[in-house]
Amino acid sequence: MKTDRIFGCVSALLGLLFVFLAVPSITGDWQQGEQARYFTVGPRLFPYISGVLVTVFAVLIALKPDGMNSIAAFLQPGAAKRALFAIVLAFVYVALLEPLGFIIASVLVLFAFFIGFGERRWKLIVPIAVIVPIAVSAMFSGFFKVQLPPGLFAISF
Amino acid sequence: MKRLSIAAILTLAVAVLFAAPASAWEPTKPIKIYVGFSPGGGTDIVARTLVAASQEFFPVPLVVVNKPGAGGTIAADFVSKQEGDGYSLLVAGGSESTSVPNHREVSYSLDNFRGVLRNIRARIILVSKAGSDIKTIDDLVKKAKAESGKLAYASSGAGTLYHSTMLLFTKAAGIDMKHVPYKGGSPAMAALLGGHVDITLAAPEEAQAQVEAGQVNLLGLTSTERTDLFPDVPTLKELGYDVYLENQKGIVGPASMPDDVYQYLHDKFKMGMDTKVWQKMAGKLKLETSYLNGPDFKDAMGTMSKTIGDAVKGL
Amino acid sequence: MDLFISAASEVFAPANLLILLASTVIGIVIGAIPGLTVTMAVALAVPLTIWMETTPAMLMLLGLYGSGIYGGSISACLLNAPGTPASAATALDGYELGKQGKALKALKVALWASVYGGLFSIVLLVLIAPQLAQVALKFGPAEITCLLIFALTVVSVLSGDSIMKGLFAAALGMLLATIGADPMLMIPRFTFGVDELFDGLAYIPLLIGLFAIAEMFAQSEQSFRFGATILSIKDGERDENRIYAEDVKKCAIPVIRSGFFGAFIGMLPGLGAAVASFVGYAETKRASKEPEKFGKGAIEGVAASESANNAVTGSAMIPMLALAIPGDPPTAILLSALMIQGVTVGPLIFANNPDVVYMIYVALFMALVATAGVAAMFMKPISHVLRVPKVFLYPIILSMCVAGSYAIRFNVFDVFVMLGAGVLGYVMRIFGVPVAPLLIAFILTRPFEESLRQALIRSEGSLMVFLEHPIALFFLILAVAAVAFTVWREHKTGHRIGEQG
Repeated sequence: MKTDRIFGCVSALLGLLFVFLAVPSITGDWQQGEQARYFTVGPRLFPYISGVLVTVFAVLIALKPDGMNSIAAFLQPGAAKRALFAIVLAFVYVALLEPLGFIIASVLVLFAFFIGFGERRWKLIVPIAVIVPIAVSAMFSGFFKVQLPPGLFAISF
Repeated sequence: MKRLSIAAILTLAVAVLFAAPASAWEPTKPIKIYVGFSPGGGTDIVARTLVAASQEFFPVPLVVVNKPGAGGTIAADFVSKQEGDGYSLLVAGGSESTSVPNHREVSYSLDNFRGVLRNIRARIILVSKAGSDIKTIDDLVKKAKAESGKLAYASSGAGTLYHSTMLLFTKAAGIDMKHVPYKGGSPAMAALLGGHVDITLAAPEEAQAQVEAGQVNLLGLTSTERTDLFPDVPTLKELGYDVYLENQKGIVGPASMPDDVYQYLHDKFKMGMDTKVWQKMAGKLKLETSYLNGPDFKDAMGTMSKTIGDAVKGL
Repeated sequence: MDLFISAASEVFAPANLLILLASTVIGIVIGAIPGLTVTMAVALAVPLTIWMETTPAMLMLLGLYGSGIYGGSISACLLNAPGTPASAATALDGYELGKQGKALKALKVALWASVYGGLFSIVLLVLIAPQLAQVALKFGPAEITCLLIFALTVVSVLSGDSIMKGLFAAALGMLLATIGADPMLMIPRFTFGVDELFDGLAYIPLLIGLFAIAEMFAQSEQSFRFGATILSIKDGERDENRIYAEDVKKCAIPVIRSGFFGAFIGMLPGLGAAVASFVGYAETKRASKEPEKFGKGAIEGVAASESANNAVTGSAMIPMLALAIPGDPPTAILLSALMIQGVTVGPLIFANNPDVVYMIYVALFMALVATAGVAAMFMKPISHVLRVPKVFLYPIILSMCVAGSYAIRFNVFDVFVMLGAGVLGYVMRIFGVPVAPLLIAFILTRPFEESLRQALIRSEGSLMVFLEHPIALFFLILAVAAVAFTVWREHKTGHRIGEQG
């Protein structure tokens, strides 16, 4: 119940910020110009509507919490830490994608993933971390003609 | 910063590896041809046709890379910032080159490109629905003057070449029409056939099927001379409206592309255009093959861009 | 009839059958991998068809085209990672069934519903394509606007147990859809000067993030040890995965109804299979006597979604063939491919090239048969992917999702969008906010805004336009009725629960 209230309040606040700060930032000359009089509805209408709706429903969630959430699982010891690790690792992965290339970035991240989640069967994790990225890359470039970021492997061309 | 230094090392390594004597340039790795639109669009089809026809003359693979978004400007911006080493090319000549930069700010201009060659030109035809009382440009102008601001035209989107064409035409004819933007040429044609707008614009290959089935009237085309496909359709120029805009498709590269690279790419793609593959596909797809060399292609884009720029500024 | 027989006899040449089979397998694989799209596959295949005869060329392209959507349901049911947007609605119940050890059952039902949906749309294509095309043309901006208002009412049905959170999610989806240039004037909204945002958030990365990546983050909480799908092939489980007469009875009406919705939505331009499957799913839930079972492994939910999205494949061909106006990217490519074969599509194709038309009918049908055959054969082996420990499976899926999101536009930006959506989906899960309403509102908002504003340009701002057009009015009334029905039922079940408590 408390969780829902907090969630509702924070979301409502963000919704208000959106409506009063973000939407007015849309600028353009749709009120002027030859065609202006035909555009009775400008580009701000839908952002306004959606921002107001988000705020309204967030307030309603805060007022009438139903307590249906999975916060309990998230609050179990270590759960948040593990999820955060996965999230950070995923972002690191994508940040490395262009500088290192798909294959090297994938090998590193897969390996870190396995180690981080307590997998120590070296005979399994080393081959998987190496073979999977190469296989995915080969499938995309060979079969679907999609060249994934080559990164350091550009040197091989 | 890190990326930069890696790129620098790479360039150095490549330079050392392939330090060839200063003879004619030859590609040594796959050449990427960027297309600013999704697979299946008109630009994509031209790129794939050209690749299918020219591949046999290149020692390395030609790869079509679709980098769609923002009306083709993401790909144009990307290629304009690549090195002019001949490995990053762009299919240009349409809205992203001549029209969009006149309507909104983009981070490139035609000066950032060097033309390689033009492959096709695509006329732009004004069409109305069969059975409507608009059968000629004259009818259109008269009706638009009688019901000022009531007639509507569908374009393929705000800022596109079709939109610019109508801006030019309504200005030249001194008429006022509503602009209803659609997402691309097909929805615009559907809107016309459904009677939801009065006028739309179409490429010849789009118009052909509708004309054969008697669904549309062709009013006029925005070129300097008539097209063989529809010899009876007058040009707007003949009718006294100074509107000359065409869609074109050709290959460009970054402006820093040196002469030997230009010459190599130009010659090979030109050979591709002379093959049977190109002729068969272009013929079937009703594409009007129209070769221009690099500098002329760039001039042609520059002229159209300026025409549109003047018209937009005048609003 | 002669034309049918001659078309069929050409298709049954061994070389042609082989082409069909190969392209079907590739189509299913592409459909199953998040990020790889049928459009991409068909575009790659077109240059190969230049020197082919019409028959093998059509078999190849339609084999890819017809099988991709079913492929999407495989990863949706097994991994909660819908391979195509069209199978997002399938994942809602398909993955729940998978968690209960009934993955195979979900896949079987998905397959038979797909076959029905595809078949139904082919029948429509064969019998009344020109008439339907004329109906499709009647849908101008006003009509589309009202149809989309009706479609938006499915949000309330998709909300699950917590209607407020569902509506909140939908509002959020709408908000996310306003990012990017406005559809009329191309004025940038919330793009912060980033060109990649000009067209808005790309929706396949968004989908992959909300489903597959969010699932991965959620599973990482417990080091991928719990909540995972277990599939054993012990006898008891095998019985669980059979389809019984009772299941057929439960699914028959939803499948038929969804086929109808799918075919209808498919022939209108710009809506597509994802909208069809959500509408089919939601209407089935709305009509069901046990709506509370949806989202918890209702077999008819899977059936409804798959019947609807496959019905789109045949009906999307209707405007392409009968009007030369392709409604979506893959049919646009098919149109070019037909032109390369020297066939002019459009109203005259039925008179001038009946042989090609019949070839397309037969090829679409055979693609369906091949999909069914291939899928039935490989369903079991593929589902063994679930026996791979999750700690290995999810990172591998992550790397495929990264590659797939990148491949959409060759842009790393979209991969970040996917991760952002993954975090968003995960946070929503923690707070019990359903993601399906967000996704469908996101998909519907852009065409809704576009058609609403087109209609208002034409009417010069007058809202009367929506009441004056009969078709538009019809859908408005339908939307009001749908909302009224939902409210009435909420009220009733609310009472019932109240009485019990």
